[in-house]
Amino acid sequence: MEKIILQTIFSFASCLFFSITFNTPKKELIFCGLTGAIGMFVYSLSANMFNIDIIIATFLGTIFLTATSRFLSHFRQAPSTIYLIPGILPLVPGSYMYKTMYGLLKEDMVYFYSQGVFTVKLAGVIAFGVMVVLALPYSLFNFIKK
Amino acid sequence: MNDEKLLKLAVDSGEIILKSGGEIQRVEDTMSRIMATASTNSEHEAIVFPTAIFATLNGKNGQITKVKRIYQGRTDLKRLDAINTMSRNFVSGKISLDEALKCVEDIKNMPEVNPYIFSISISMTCLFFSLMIQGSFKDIISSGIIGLALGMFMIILSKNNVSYFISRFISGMIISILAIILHKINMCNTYENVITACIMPILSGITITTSLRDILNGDFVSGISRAIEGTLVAVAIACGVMIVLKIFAGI
Repeated sequence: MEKIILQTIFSFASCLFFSITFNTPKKELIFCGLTGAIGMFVYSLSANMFNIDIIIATFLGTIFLTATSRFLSHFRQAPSTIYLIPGILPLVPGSYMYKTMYGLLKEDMVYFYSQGVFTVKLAGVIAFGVMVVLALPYSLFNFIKK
Repeated sequence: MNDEKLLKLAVDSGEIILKSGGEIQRVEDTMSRIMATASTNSEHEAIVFPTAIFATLNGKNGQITKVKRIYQGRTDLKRLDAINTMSRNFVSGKISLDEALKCVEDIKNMPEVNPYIFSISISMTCLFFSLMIQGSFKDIISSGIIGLALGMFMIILSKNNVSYFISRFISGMIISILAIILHKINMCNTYENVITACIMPILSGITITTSLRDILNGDFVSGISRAIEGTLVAVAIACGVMIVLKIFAGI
């Protein structure tokens, strides 16, 4: 459980700092961190507590992350891109990409192939998750009267 | 209402949104809304690609067209937000055309991220990322150090107008070289954790996300070209890392 909490907190921090590099307006910084934290929390919860397959956990994380960004976009009256861009950061499969590269360097083709396919699957699942939630009608997200 | 000024406003706003990381739908939508204020009977079209904007307005002075070539910009969310606010205010009538044009000029001159803050932020991103993937204490500090160097190099590379892919390639090499040096002086345990944590900020999840939104909205030309750009960036970084590891670490 503490692993989940720690990962969420660190994910909040890293998304917050990452959004600074994009010159995000100061008042939106915390919400960028929040988006990343929610995405990571759902991912971590699914993968660690419920032992769900990593790919599905990433998918769930992406869905909640994108939904949060759309909700915040209405709540804060700012384009949802602002929250989505830093929020994606924790879920992008960096470590699997490194392993794919490593397999290629070591000429261990089986490892390269398995890690490579996993990386592509993760990227695809993130893509799909983002697409699905972005396609939902706006009316689902504006239930707070502004 | 001066149609030429309105067209200029639309195209300039579109350019800023596009350069700052907005998706095609947002650019075309903003431009259409701005041009629709000409008069209720005006026809207007806005066609946008990642490298070009075409806009035409058929108002009371006849048909005028403006074309603009767009060059690579840096993702800048403050400008995106500011243009969004400005266009909302203009379309709802809160500000006049001349005020809006002045606002766009101010937005173009908005300061970019302070280089020191940029470097420190990248450093902290890498550091917290390393924490998140459960590196050892030494790995975490190394990630912070490499992140700081990475931030500084990115600033230098962007000041010298280096091509986008080359700068990503060089960044990958720099990360690996520094990781190897730190490993030699026993500041980090393995390459894996440190390099993984440090390539995350430059892996451009942005481009992929924006390309998806474009494809979803039916802008296949832009979507596919951005998707390829995102993939090539990942490949460029991978090549940079691999070459250094092969030559210097004998992997």
